[in-house]
Amino acid sequence: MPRMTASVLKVVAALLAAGGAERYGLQLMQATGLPSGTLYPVLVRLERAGWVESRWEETDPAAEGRPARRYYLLTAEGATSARREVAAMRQQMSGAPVLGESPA
Amino acid sequence: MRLCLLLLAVAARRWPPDIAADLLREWQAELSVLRSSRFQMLMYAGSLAVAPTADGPSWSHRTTTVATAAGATLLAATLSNAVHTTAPWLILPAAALMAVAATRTRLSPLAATALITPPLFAFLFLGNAVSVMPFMGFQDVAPAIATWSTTLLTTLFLSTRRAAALPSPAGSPTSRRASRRPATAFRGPGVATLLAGSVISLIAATVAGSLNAAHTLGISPWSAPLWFPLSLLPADTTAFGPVLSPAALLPADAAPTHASAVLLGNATVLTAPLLLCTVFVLALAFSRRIQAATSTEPQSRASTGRASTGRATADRASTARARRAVTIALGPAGSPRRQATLGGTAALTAVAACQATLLAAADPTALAHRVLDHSAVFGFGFATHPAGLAATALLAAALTLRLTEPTPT
Repeated sequence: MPRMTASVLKVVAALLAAGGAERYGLQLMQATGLPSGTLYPVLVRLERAGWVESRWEETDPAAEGRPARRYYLLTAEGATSARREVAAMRQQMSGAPVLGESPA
Repeated sequence: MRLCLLLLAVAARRWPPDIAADLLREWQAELSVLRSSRFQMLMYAGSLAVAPTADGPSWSHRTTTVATAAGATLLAATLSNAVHTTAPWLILPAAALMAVAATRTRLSPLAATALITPPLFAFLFLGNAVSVMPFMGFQDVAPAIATWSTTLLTTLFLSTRRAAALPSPAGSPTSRRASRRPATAFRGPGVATLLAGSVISLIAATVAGSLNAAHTLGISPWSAPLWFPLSLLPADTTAFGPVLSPAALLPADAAPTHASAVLLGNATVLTAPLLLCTVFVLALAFSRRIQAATSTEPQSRASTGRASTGRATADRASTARARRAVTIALGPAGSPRRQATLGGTAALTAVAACQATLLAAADPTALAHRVLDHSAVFGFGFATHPAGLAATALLAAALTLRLTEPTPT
């Protein structure tokens, strides 16, 4: 499991908000407000952890007028874990105890 | 556009080879979309070029590394001033303290040398609140620090290469036997290069930083190799060069003296911090060698016999007793009470040390006399400004907390 930092949470929340749609780097930068130097290391860590998978866009660069993009998508396991972590963080921020955990 | 592509290439080179090519292709594709705004392109590529990689050191680690180097320089400066105002022989315990401080940090010797260079230059060049040192201008300090840094970095590089060129510990019975004792870290390959290069770096830096003074004072450069050791000895050890009468370089009430007194008195302000920083770097290099020697042979601890086992048990008991005493006095490790006590004490000590140094340096005439008897205190001019004083106190507190935090096991 990747270490859950604020940046990681922002990225997984943005991918969850996409509702299963693929997102490329610039879209995720806009959605999270993270700079490129923060976003890509997070994506690499999430991909290594199996939370995210990526694929290259199958397109003709000459026809599109731009190079092929790399798209990111939450895996099934990643989506489940991401939902749990984002919910836990939201509950923590609101001061409510996390479901399934007894209060300390 | 070319600059951005270059930045992307630099950024990709820092990533593991198996993903670097894909990342570069992806970034180039994203960059092409941003073509309408050069600023956005530059921000995109620049952020990737400087940001930590997924496996590399984080910003927090980078900040700690830079703060540690600045703290080492500050410690060397403080200890140098303490030595100058008391007795030259105190340079030995000061060096030992620097070595102990080095073992509490995780810097690499190469990184430490590179990172210590800017604060050391700043301390010697910009830290001078009252300009009394006759030869401590840019043409003196810059060559000295550049020579020290370049020579020491080259030495560390060569010593590492010599160590790496030999067969691994598993390669021969001799090396396998040798790797069983951490003491081999002080006799292994590259050690002679390391020690000789360190001494050469100090001598060369002293010469580079004093040539301008020697030229002005009319001292022959043939004595140059002796300037470093002589600068660490008491002022009346030797005298050479033309006799100076009280003039621009001496206080009005000073007796005529040899030019060597001014040259060496000036050099001693430079050489003491350089020596202590060199000891810090050497201690880092040797502690790495000890770690390497112990980690290559896991059974080595088992083969040291009952005597050392007994000693180790006694040491552990003694350490545990000391830890218990500290815990009772300051609170458990990491507790707010202990952190506040340690950090506050360090900050107050730093403020007191800065004020004491500034007071000692406040009288230019008295300081000019100190130049002649090798007791000049120097630097900490930055502490005259409240922001400089606050930054120094903050740095001292942060580093004390960092150095006293429990070592992960």
